[in-house]
Amino acid sequence: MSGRRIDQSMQYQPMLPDSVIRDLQNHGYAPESAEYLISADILADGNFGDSWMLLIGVKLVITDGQRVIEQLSLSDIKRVYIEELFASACLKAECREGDKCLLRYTKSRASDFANFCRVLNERIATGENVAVREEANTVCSQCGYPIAEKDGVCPKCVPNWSVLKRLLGLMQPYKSRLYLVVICTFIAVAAQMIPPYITKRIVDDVIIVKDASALSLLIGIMLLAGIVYLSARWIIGATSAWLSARLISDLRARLHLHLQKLQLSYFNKRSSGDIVARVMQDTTELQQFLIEGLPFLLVNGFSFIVISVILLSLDSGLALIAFFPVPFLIVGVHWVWQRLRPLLYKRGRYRGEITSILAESVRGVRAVKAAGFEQARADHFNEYNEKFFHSLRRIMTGFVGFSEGSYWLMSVGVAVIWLFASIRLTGADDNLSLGDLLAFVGYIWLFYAPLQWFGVIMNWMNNAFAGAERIFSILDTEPEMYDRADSIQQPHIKGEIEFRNVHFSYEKGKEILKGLDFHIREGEMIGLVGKSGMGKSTMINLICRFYQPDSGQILLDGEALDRYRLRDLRHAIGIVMQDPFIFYGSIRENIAYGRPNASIDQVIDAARAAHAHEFILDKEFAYDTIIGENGVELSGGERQRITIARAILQDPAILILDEATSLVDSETEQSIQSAIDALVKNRTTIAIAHRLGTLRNADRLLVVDDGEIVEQGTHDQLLQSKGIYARLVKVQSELNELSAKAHIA
Amino acid sequence: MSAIDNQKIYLSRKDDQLYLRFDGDHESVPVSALLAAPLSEDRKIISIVHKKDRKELVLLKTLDRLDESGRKLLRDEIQRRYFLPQIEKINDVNIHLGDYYWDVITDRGSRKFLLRSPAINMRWVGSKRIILCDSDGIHYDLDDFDSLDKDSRKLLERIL
Ligand SMILES: Nc1ncnc2c1ncn2[C@@H]1O[C@H](COP(=O)(O)OP(=O)(O)O)[C@@H](O)[C@H]1O
Ligand SMILES: [Mg+2]
Repeated sequence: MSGRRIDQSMQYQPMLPDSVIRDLQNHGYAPESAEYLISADILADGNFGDSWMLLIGVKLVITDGQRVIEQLSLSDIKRVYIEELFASACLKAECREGDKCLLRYTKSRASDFANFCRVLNERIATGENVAVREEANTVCSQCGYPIAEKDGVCPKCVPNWSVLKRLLGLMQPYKSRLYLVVICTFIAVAAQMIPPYITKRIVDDVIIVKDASALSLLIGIMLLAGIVYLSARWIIGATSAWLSARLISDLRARLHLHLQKLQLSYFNKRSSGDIVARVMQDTTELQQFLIEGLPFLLVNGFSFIVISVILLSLDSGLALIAFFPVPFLIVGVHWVWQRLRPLLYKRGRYRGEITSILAESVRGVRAVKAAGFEQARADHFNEYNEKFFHSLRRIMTGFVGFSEGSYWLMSVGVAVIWLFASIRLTGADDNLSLGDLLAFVGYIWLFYAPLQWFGVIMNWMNNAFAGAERIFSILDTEPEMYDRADSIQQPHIKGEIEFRNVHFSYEKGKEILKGLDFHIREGEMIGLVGKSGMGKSTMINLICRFYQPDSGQILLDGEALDRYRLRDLRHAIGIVMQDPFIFYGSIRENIAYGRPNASIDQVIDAARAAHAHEFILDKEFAYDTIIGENGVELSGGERQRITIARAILQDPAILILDEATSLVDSETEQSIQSAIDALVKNRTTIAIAHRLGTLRNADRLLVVDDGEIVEQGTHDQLLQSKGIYARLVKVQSELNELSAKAHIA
Repeated sequence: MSAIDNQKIYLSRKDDQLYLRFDGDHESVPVSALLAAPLSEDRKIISIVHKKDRKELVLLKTLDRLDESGRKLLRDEIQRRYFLPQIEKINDVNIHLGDYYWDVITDRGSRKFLLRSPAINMRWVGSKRIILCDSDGIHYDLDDFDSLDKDSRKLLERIL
């Protein structure tokens, strides 16, 4: 479903229902000659439903599946625009006689319409055709649900075995250990089969005939079988523990690496908690299943088959009786499990809730105390704590009932065997000996015991595989493009930057940059000015290639930005951001982040220049103070100065200061300013600042308003032209006067 | 333009556009009607802002200051602007890979949607109402689930 240009008549056919095509033809339109076609998913009455708009010749035709509801001439339309509504939007046309709503659609079509709107406006303005970009299909053709990831595979419709295959693929390097597990499984099952058989021999050949000659041999074999069984299980346990730990460590390492290579847009759409949970919980769950669940399934699945054969060969009549409770056990387990599972979900939800309340209370303890919220928080916590308790209690009761119940079923099975066998034994049936009966009962317990857990383990397997698939879906997400085949090798980046008609949006349909065109010379200092939210930081994001533009081009030293290797590019750019990034480590390491082998002298020089030196010395461990999460708390201004020092030390070709001094007080700002002035010399600098005074030295100012550059020139030129910039300056100087007066008073 | 409390206001509509005029004024200005709390407050508190500069002209806590036709226009505008389908029946809901797949019937027609990160996108409002937000950013209102039919409730209980 999308807005698209129709090149061949074949393309539009699947998109339009026959009834619509016929109706259009009745109105004298030839749908196959339509230039554009777009579909919307809300009808005029506000309900869900498909409607379509076609551009046929110079006519816009709208149809809602029943009939044509609107026909407009392009020449009557001045322009089209989008009215953003709540979770939906409206494509409107500005006509001579007033505005008209053309189509309504939900957010899921936003991107199609944003494109369509742009294209149609160009068409109206120039009269020429413009190609429409096609969007990928977002609904699964099998199940009809939207597809989770935009790469086109519906995770719901991917079968379990393909996950298993992939997991086995990951174990490829550790093949020999895998074989060891399988071999030991055979051995363990074989050893497990011996004791009941020995029991039979002891009863029939020793006790009944009162001849102890073979006894010591039989007991010996029995003990030996026990030892073999134990050893085999031990090897299986140890090896699968090793295998799964290895596998999970490999997976986590790959995930961590991969996550850092992903486009920033990936993280935009997900909460960080979600991602961390995937990496930690899903891998842990998978690991536990591989350590405990998988060997269980292997050993018991195999022994289930072997015992069935043995039982049948011992006595097929009794075997059939023994099999009798099996379906009940399986159905019963399923029934109970269906009722337990929602409880398990609930338990998980309540546990999560409790954890987050606890974490919030601890983190926000200052705010809680200050506002006297202690009791309210406690009540909130208790509410979920009680719910957690009740779900836990019900789960426990359920589990006990479940295992006792299935034990009872098995006992019934065994009792019935005793009953029938005893009748046959007392009736002197030659085919059945007492030893047979005892062996039989021995096997039966081996046979029943794992049955009750199969259901549970299968469920566990489903969960673990679901986790595995989530992990794979991260690994399958396409990483940021690091290098291209035609990447420039060892470039000497000088710092000339050019934007050519750059469009960009974070979320589909909501364009942030609306066609930027500008050129920054090598070594020039540019100030970006504009109200907040106008897209200044977004421009920086594009220069750093954190995001790719939707259309248009960015050039660095005359070459397309993506022809540089990402490493080279980011090394050439030093950036001090609005929210400074401090990672866990010493101050020294933080400053030397971009140049890990810098000497302490160099680090100190950089810190001096950033006016960070003195406050660093004030800390107990000075440059060795650990900062970052869980480390010593720094004020916002201190963090900013550390990142400025980091940029100074990096000595980049392009320096970007995105409100780099917004968090320091005016006095410190002035002193940092001199450091920055020194830093700015001989390199391309892009500075964004709230306090416009700090941009006075800029060679040129670009004024950004709503994603467009509306003014450019030096401070003085812009003041004279009395535009947006002049207004901003005026407002600020009035504010300054106010605060100056306040100081005096 | 001034806004004295209790001053009457008049709404009109032309070409799909709402206009506001204060009692005593001559001129009407194009406006948008916004809900202060679209998800939680039963759509009662309505802010009327200037269409172009988005400045608030008046904040309505009740509809007392409007005449009957104004109230209807306002209700229609809110209904048009706030696309918040009410879930009336749940055909199916299942969990796969931690994502929730819903198949529902709403007051605006039936819909299959995908909900991710349930911790964030299933928001409880009170104890009987949930707001669901799907992967496209469309919200669905699941108000008072005691009033749902038995099958829907059963499906809900399974996942809540
Ligand atoms: N990561 C993001 N995801 C979605 N929208 C964003 C993101 N970052 C910024 N925006 C939006 O883009 C617009 C421009 O933001 P930004 O470039 O940070 O503005 P400025 O730096 O000029 O204050 C804002 O409306 C903001 O809400
Ligand atoms: Mg910014």
